Amino acid sequence: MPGMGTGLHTNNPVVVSAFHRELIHQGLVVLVILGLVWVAWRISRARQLRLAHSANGGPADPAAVPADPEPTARRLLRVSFGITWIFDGVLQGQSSMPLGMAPEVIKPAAAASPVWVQHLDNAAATIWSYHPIAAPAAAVWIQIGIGLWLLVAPRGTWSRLAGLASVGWGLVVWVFGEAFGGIFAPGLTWLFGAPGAVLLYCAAGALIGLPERSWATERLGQILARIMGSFFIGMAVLQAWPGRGFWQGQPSPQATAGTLTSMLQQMAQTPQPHLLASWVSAFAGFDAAHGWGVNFFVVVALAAIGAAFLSAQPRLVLAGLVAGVALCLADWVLVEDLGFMGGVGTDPNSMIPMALLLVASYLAITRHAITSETTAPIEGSPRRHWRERLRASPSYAFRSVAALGAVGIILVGAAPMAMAATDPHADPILAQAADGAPQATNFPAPTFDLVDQYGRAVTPGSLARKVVIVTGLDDVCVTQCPLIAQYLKAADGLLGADRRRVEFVAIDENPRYIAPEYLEAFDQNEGLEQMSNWLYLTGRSLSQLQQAWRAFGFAVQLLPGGSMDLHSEIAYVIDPSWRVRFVMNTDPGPGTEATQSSFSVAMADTIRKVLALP
Amino acid sequence: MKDPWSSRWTARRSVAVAAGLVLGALGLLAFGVGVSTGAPSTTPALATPLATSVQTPEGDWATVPMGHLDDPLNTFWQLLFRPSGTTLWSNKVEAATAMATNGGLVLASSGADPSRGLLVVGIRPSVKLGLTPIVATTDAGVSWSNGLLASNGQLDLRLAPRPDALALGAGGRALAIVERAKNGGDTVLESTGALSSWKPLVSEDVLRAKAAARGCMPDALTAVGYLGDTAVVGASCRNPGALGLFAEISGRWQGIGPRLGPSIIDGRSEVLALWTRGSGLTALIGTSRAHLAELRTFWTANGTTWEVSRPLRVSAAQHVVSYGPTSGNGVFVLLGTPGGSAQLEVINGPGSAWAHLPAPPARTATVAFSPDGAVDALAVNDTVLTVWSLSSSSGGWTRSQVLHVAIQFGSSNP
Repeated sequence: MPGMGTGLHTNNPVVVSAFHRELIHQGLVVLVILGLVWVAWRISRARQLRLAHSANGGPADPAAVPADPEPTARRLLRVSFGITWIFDGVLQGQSSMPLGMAPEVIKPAAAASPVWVQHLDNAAATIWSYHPIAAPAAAVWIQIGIGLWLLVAPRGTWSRLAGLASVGWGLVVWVFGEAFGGIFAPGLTWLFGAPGAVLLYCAAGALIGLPERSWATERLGQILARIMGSFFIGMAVLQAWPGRGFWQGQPSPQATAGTLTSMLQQMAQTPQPHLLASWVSAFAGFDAAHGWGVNFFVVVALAAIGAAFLSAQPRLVLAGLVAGVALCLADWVLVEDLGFMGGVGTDPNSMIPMALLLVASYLAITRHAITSETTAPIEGSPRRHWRERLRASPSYAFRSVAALGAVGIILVGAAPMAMAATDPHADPILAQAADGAPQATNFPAPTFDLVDQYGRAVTPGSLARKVVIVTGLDDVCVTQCPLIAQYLKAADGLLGADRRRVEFVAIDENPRYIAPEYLEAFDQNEGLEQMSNWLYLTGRSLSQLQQAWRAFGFAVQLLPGGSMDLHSEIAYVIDPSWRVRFVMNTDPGPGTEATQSSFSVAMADTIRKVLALP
Repeated sequence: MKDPWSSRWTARRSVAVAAGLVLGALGLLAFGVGVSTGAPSTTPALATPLATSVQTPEGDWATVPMGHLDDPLNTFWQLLFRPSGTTLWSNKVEAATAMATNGGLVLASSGADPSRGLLVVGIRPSVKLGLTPIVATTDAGVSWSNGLLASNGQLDLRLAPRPDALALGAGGRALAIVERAKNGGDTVLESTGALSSWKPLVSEDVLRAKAAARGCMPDALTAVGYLGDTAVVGASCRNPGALGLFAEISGRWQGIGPRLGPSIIDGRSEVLALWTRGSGLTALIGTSRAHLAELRTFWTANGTTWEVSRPLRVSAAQHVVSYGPTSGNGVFVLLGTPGGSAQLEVINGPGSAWAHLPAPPARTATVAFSPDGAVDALAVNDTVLTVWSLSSSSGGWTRSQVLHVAIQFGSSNP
């Protein structure tokens, strides 16, 4: 029935179930990959041991094991961001992701940005909305894959490639998922996560991707510290800028809340544990009362931390680090609200990655473990061929095989997603989620004697040897019927050459506007007059039309108060022998482009099934 | 070979990077602080609300919006009727329209002339529907006939959102303004009987060309009416000091109406309404300047001599809530403020002045003036319509009826 609300809830059980099924299927593939990794590793290890025993009766070539440890800062970044990527991948597996990501994350993130950013992000939102199973499943495995890759490949080319993969995917997420971290939108502030959490992942990935010699001295640490320092000072300037609402709390309930207070009040409404909500609420109250003081503290703290890091002096950087990490943690809990609550949280937001980068820059200055003495042999030694290293070095063999496995996991998500992204039609699961699956049946179809939009008589006999879709449409319906008409038209387009064997028939479902001119007007309004296999039927009289309604079980009822009439939304797919083979609910649900496309695909698929019947 | 990590290289570049980042932050700052909210306009709003009332010999008709008025998909226009000689209103919308009324209803009547009792209702398209059904009754809403606003094979025309976009003339003739087409302006259609048979009468482009000498340069067609058998079209003028009233005389479209006085010569004018009164015509004209809007009523019996009322000032804090005909040659104007207070002004005919009636109750959407002298204010609060009657004895408003309308919220939502 029109307007009675069949919007798709983000936790729609059909979609959630399909998503979990897809994750389980892909998870089985991942298990196979892990099994193959284990087998490959065992084969490789057995060969190494055999070679070693045949050569000298001892273990594998100890010289193949690098004597120098991985730089502490690099290891910190690699392990922590590896874990974070895995955590983010797990978050992508939340039930709300398939239907919630586009409307609740991607579009709001871009809403305040310039139009070109919105266009860019709309493209991503469209892909996600059209493929609500493939897209989140891809995100799960890509992120888990990158995380594992970072963890299992501590050194060498594989490790650097993992960093670069992190940069690549991070940029995709930053641009399309975070709308460039909101840097083009008003209200940009470090407190809310500027310049975007995933850009920090990219920074970490880029550092991991640097040549290992970059970590040999304190230079990289100094550069990193100065970059962080400059960033913090820039953010302090931004925070201090007047007229942006940050100096303002909310002195009275009637007064307009300041930017931070307003944000905090929203965050407190996010579904989360009571304790956390009470902390955020309490801080919102504190900021409302002391908005100027809170902002003054933040500005001073950011500037001081920035100055300390800009100096690149270990002692000052250490002081800045302590203050920076404390500020990050406070902001993470009290402002960012941990970042991942609410069902569609995709990451722990920016403060944890920010703190990790601060720590890494300090460690890179103070613990550049590879001294000039230890690096000399590596730099000077001839590079061994990878096959030789694979044979000789257990760790190299392991990280190579494991990294290949991680790449395989990434491909488990990326490959179906790439195929889905090239498909301009939406997944039929959306139609199924809104209306249920088409019901297979087999009974004689009702007959009728009506006239079409041009006044010509139409009976089942005039539709012989065709698959006929019979549905009902109110010719002055303002929402559902135009949507249904559009998806019938789109389904017709999907049939290609088969459309010659198909007739789309609608019966008018309005008791007042039964003259053919209304049907023709509806056709014109919806562009249906170009469909050669489209018939819109009405009665020569209301009683004749009502007879057809009864035959097909269409319920039509006038509603009070200026509403459109209540009418059935159902379609019968009738085979050439005039037997009903499928009954479909045609309620177009929320009427988005994605659901429209999905309904068209579902309708075309059902028609093809009937066309294929003997 | 240069060591890229040498001290000098690093120092220079780190300074450059730092400077770049600061500049970048300042650049972002420009984005971040570049949003400002404009000051509220002080130009008075000459809105053209669809809420109004008209008279027929069988009784008074009115249309008002009800439901959630801040949400177009949950605002449903009602069609209310009070039979002559009675005091109670009833809602005829279900029997009359048989479709969603979110786009609004446009009423036209043949007036209170007992020999011609016809009410025509244009049901404006809304949401995804683009066609305009028209329904009509001659028996107080007992039975309805219906038509479609269509012309030259184009069946999905949209009736303009103006309270006076429909007009009835003698012999079943009717005029309708259809909204701006893709490659042109508004167009006036005329029907000579059947409500599904319409022909283009004149377009905004044609009038613009013809009216150039008068300097109006119409930018929208705003009202239609008949002066005797002559179709009259009202417009809003792009150029200040001009009046957009046009009639087809001897096969040519010409500007009619009086010259605007010196006090409004620098203001823009708009014809808000045209009402056929016997063989004459009444026009409600709005003019606006920077901080001042005024309403004037023009009367003519023959199109050559005109009488103009004194102006009714609309302050910057007020907006037009409703206007319509009273019995005889009168006009009412209902003004409102954001605070909810209302002001009701009436002018009874040529030679009279605007009279200030007692302020109607809050939320009054329109007022109906019956030929028998009764005056009702129709106040809307969500699904409740309260009828307030102006007491001739006490001079105040007394509640005479409460009508609960069963609105199906969400029924027009996708």
